[in-house]
Amino acid sequence: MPETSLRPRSAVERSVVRADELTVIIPAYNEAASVGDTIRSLLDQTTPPREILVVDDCSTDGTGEVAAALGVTVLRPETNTGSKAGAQTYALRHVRTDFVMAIDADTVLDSDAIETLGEVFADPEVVAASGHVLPRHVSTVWERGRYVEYLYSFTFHKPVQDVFGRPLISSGCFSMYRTDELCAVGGWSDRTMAEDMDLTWTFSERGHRVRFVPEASSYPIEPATFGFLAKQLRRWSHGFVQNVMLHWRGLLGVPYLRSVVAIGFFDALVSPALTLLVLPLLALFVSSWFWLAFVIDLPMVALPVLVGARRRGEFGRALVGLPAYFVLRLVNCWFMLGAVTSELVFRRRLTTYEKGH
Amino acid sequence: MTAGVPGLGLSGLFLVASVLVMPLLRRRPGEVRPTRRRALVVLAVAIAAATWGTWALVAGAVGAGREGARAAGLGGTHAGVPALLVSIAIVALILAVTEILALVLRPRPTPTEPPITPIHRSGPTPGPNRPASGIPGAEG
Repeated sequence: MPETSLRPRSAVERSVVRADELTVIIPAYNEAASVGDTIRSLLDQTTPPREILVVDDCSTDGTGEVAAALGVTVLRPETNTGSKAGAQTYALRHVRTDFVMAIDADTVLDSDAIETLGEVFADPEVVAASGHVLPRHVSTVWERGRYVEYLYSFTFHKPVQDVFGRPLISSGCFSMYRTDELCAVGGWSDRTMAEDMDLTWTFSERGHRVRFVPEASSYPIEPATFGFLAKQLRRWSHGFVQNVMLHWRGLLGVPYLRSVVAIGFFDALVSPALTLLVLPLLALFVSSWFWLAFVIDLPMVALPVLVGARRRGEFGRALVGLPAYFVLRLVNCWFMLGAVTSELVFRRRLTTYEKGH
Repeated sequence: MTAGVPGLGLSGLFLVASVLVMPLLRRRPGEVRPTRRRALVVLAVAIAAATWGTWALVAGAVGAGREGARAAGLGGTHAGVPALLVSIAIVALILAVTEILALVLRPRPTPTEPPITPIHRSGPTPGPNRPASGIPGAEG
């Protein structure tokens, strides 16, 4: 038997996406402080991409100059495209490789992230794949809450959804696509505030497969202040409701994903009122024991979080961050309440993309 | 973002149920490794056990308190029905309604944006990370 067949194949040998087949798009508006780290992280990959396109979306802080100094291609639309989706789709026309990856301008990757993510494209039905996401900085209460929220989601929710071949969302901050399929659906649409969810559901409706690859890790900068967090949560909550309204009829043809979305939508409709109104009233006027309801699902959250954290050698950080998760969840409920009320009751769509990391 | 109902844990419950039916799924080549599936099953069983234990603990604590009767809903029952059964019933109802809708209403594909034609797709092959020909402002 040849010696080579006895060796376990390395990630390089397994990877389907070769370096010369991948273009990376980085949408950037006033990201001079962080885009350099993102580009360096891409250049340091074990399989660096053939081309890196930075879309300098009419920044005023020298983002384009920072990117150009690192030797990548900088595209600059005549006017601001108005959204991350617009900037990414603008760059898509310039892509000449079989695969394309989108990464936020504040995100860095593990050095083998691209290689690892590329493995799942061995399946010709896979058109999109995303990796694990964790905040790069974890110090404020919002960052700690987000850290736990991501660990919970990426340790339990997404792996389960992946087994069924239907992840709820291929994260916009770090995802890879087949260029042809992405072009066929018109790229990233700005018709909702959550272009990554829109794209994921569009692919699923068309019968394509979307994968989640936990071994490929990315590290975006998450909102450290409430102001930035508010902008992000407003976009996400409105984006979810907008996507449900846009896709519900199409999703009915997608088993499992339709169940995940239905339960998520029920939660979105019911949980804000229950959490922010009914439970506090019960606790105040019926029995103080009802305060316990806010943390009664601690084991359900803590177990996957601590398992995920232990794998990464971050057990202590996760343990300390757990209380912040419950604070963040209340804030999530508040913004979901606003989105449901605005989009469904008053029929006021959020259409302005406010950047907030 | 997570905005679930505290205590009901509908999404978590649905995921735990999903994991339990995993062994019935046909595995395709290149899909999730069996070891990862097993790890998810172990995790789901642990979550279910921990959740059950917590509810039992809270039920005991509430029952022992002076306000026990008034907080019975939190202590594990809603109008005499165990809270876990209430959650399971809600999840089952949502799933049933969704499946009925899928049967009754014909799924209609969501329209997409017009296809995009790449500018250079059939053009010459550039070198890796070609130098910044696109100086800010030059491509617009």
